[in-house]
Amino acid sequence: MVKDTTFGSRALDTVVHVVMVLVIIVTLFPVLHIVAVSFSDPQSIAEGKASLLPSGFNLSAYRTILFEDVHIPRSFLNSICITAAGTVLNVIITTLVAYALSKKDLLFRGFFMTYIVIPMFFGGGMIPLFLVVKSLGMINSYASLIVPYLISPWWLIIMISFFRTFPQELEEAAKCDGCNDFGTLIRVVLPLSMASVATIGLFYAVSYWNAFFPALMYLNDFSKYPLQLILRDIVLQNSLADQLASQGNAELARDLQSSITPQSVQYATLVISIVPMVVVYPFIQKYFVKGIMIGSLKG
Amino acid sequence: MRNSKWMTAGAAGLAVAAVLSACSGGAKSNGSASGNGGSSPSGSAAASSSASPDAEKTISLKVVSQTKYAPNSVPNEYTKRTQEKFNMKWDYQAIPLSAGMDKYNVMFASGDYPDFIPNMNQWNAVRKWAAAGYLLPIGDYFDKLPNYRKLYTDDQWKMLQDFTSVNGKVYMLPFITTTYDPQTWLYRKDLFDKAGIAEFPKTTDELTDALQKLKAADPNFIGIGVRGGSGNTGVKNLLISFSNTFRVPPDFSGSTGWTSFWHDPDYDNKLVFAPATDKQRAMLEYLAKLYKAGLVQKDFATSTEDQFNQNRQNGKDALDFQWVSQIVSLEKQNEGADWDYAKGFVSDAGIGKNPLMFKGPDFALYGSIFSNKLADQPDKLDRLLKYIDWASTPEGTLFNQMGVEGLTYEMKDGLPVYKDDLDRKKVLEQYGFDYYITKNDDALKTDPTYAIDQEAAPIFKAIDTVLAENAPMSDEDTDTVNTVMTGVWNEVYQFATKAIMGVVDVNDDKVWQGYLSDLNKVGLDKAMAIYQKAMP
Repeated sequence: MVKDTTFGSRALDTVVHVVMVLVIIVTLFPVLHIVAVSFSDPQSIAEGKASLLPSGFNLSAYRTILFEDVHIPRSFLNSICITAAGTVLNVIITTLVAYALSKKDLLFRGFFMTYIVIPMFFGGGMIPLFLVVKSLGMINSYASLIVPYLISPWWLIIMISFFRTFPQELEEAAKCDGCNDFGTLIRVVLPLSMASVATIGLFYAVSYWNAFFPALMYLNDFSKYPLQLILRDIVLQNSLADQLASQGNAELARDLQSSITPQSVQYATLVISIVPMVVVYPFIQKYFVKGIMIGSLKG
Repeated sequence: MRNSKWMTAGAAGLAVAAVLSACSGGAKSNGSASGNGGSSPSGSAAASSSASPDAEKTISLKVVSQTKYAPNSVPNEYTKRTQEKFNMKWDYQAIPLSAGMDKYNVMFASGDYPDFIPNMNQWNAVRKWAAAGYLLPIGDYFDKLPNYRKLYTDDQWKMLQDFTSVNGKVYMLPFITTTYDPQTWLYRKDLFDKAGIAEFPKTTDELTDALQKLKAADPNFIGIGVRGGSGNTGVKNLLISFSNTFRVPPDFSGSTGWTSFWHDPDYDNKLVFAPATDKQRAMLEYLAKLYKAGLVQKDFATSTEDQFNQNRQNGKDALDFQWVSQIVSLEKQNEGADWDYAKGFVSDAGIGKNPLMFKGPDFALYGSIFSNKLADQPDKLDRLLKYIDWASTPEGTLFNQMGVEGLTYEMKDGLPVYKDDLDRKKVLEQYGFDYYITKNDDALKTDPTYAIDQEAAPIFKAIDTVLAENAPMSDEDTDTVNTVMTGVWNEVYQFATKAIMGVVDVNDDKVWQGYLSDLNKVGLDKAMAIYQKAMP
């Protein structure tokens, strides 16, 4: 590889690097601030002293979350269960459907594709979905957070595109060796498709981890709530109290204001909520870069 | 090898299916546990309920409560004991306050709405559901609530019927406000003393002088502190700080009964929209002067609640306009600070009249609503009304607010106090108890804010007071007003922000006329016509 040492090239490199550094600073600043506040003592936070470094290093926020609060540890486990089960099921279903739809000789393939693509553009609406989930007896169960969202048309189409580029010769060789369609998928195609599977798995996992609205609609017990819903409740306390106060509901507003979760605990909960994704990401990063290119090149 | 892979795949599938089915199963079993509620009732409570002649048949109700804090578990002591006492079986659901109206809207729109919501805090939603026929006109059953009625004076009862009526019927049982906790100036007495200010200013001119002295004594002083927040909260709170002084009723979206449309005694009792009067202009002129001199928090329009609290803690905020009861928590948070409250409002020489207290009804538009389905189920309705009427008695208020003696509270000097390290939040989280309908008189006396509220009440009750007027209007007119006023208030706050910050000159007649014209462009004249019909 020949290195371009012209002035123009160097200038461009400099500009690109400066922009990248600025983007990194802008991105990291709020994260570092949140981490710093979560490790600071409440008095310093109240006085606005904690910024990028903790002021009065203190672990009380984490102690509160892990040992005193009932909801956060429980909802953390709930989120892990929902994310794990949902991601596994989504990946299985998406892979099976995508593999079948990638075959040109599949009967009614066009109909199935149309059927899958329609929800990308037109949603059924919240009320009909709620009624369907209710009539299926899934209200207040984790199934209500997973079953209605088993397939994302977007990721399904990406997987179909990937399977279409899979070398036909390998599949034919597998069939010559006695594999049926399912065996070919499990023994030959999937082991060579881990990049794409890991990528859609990551995206499914992130969407499950961040989701709060389905839980808000379908779950009735606080004990089943995922972390994001509890987090939302904590973070919105301030604005809720303010909203109630502005509506003149002074008594209720005062009650809320007098017991707002301390900022250090709010921020420690935020830190805890991003930990699983930060931990998982490095392990699948090697697949991720390859996987994100799926379907972007033809031939 | 082939078999082991098939077995692994099969086992993985089964495991996932098992997780899901276990979750669903758990939901069902939990649901039934919730429904049974009193699956492990105390013997005495069960015996007492079975002994009651009215309670031979258990009735089932779907109850959805929007609690202030998430209960640790459901069923809890509150739900169990209430169900046992009244022989009810509650399908009880607690939803977080942050769920806002999303969950309720889906419930009502899908027809899967509860029989009873004990604590509804969105009056506009109540109006909408009542007009759509979802709610029971609870006013038709007032004769079955004698103890609830006793909580009101005749005047208050009339106000309840005026303010909570939708198409002539009452659909909500409001909570009654038991404390008199006015908003006034809270100030750092120690900083005032240090700046040589002997007493809290009585006029706007004295206030300006005092602010200048505070600034001179401490350059970090930010001027008048403003509780910020989302949207227009900052400017709104700044205007509220001077609403009594300039005799301009504040905007509480009608929830306190005040909408800013009123018969203003300063204009021969003519119906006016307060922010479109010369008094509003005078207030903006005064605030613009203060802002220019650096005597109002610079970022009042964009600051947050957290910043407000930080300013209070780090001494940059020496005065702001909030509820008197906050003095208790402020002194607790910072023992080095000596907070006090102004024993009245400042007056303005230009206005030439005493400040006014704008008072709403002694209840909040926050309370219990009932499903229309109960109209055809008299057994259920009667039992529920019995519970509510009992909840209005001293015994009921004590139970709902404090819980159970020996479990959550104990008696000290004849007054109930929380046991051990329990407080209101913990009692609600761990046991489910929270005040309902009204606060218990004895429990109130043990509240740290009680003494200061008691002290402040006679002072502020002595101020010239105007009561909120009711404006009954049709559904169509209500919808029009709601739609139009969103734009009008936006215009009011945008102009106020610009005027205070000096972006526009409020002294300029052309600018002021332009503002009035803009208000009409976004529909103030339409709203005014409706209010004139509603408040002749």
